[in-house]
Amino acid sequence: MNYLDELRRELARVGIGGARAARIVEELADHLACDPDADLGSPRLVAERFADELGLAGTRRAAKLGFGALALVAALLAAAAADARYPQHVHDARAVALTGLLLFASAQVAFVAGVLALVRGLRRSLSGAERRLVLRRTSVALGAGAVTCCALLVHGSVFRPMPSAWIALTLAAGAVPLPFLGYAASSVRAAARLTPPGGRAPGLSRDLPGPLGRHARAVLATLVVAAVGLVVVQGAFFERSASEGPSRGLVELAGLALGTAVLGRVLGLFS
Amino acid sequence: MTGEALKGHLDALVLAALRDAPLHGYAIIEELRRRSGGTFALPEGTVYPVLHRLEADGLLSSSWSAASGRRRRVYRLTRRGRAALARRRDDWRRFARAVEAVLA
Repeated sequence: MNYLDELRRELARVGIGGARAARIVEELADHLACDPDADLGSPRLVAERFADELGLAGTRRAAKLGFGALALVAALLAAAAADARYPQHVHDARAVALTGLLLFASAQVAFVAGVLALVRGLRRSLSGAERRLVLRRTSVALGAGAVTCCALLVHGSVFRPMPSAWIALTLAAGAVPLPFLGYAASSVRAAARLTPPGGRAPGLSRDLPGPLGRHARAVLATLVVAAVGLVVVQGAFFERSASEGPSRGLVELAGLALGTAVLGRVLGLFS
Repeated sequence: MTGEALKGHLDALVLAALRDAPLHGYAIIEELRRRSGGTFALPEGTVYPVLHRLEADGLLSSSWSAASGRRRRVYRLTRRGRAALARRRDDWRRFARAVEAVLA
């Protein structure tokens, strides 16, 4: 077996096939034709370098595509929420409340995971473990985004009586982003194929700039307080009720505690 | 100079090699060797993966051309690639000035 055949086999082993592998082999064949004594390194090493570099680019692309798809979800969700004129009496209040709560929770998980994926993904250099963390964060964000879309579809179907324009907007807001989320998920799978397992990525401390990284837990606590505070103010302001704000704040706090306990390790919040 | 010593600067060097004209992989390595007066003798197998990544990141574009009866992949800087090169050049100059100030 000559060098190029062995390279082709090694490329397949690390997850590079099809047109990309053919192009790599053709480029290196040209290089060897220019300089028959060239030392390209062993086929295994060259294939692993390609997997490493393409995996890095693929991870960044997946994080950006994921964030873009989630931004679309957020924009359409905001449009549906802004257009809502809530009636005094709702036909199926329990279903509306449940889907509303699910929307609220999944949208926050998608937002946090998506931002974390993008922040880490945009770093100039990423170890293999960090790439896996970015892909994990993107997967969680896309999964939560898909749940948000499905909840929106159910919400739009059960919330009555509502104007037909709002129902159409809400159903469209749930359906339109789904193909984009699917496309972003396929880019995550493609990047994951090029990322070997092993190692452990540093946590939130590496997502924060400079000196803030040393105080990651304090930053996390501040963000939690800010999120709860926002919900308290928003609840009190929009519902014009002194009790509504704090009670929503408590629900938010419980949700954040639960979310951190369940997803903290997956999202690499802790070192 | 070994590949290990150049690690971290390879992206900027490859972008700089393509500043004036499109080149194929072998010519890029030769251009780096020529411009550095033979100091940058890069392990040749490291440059091609970097070229593919820089293209995937949108900093380079590439196309096939024919030469001596063979197909040859030619790389060129994109607009984003030129901007990235300018940024990295500024970073490097700042860094080199700081090191020089400490060592002098």
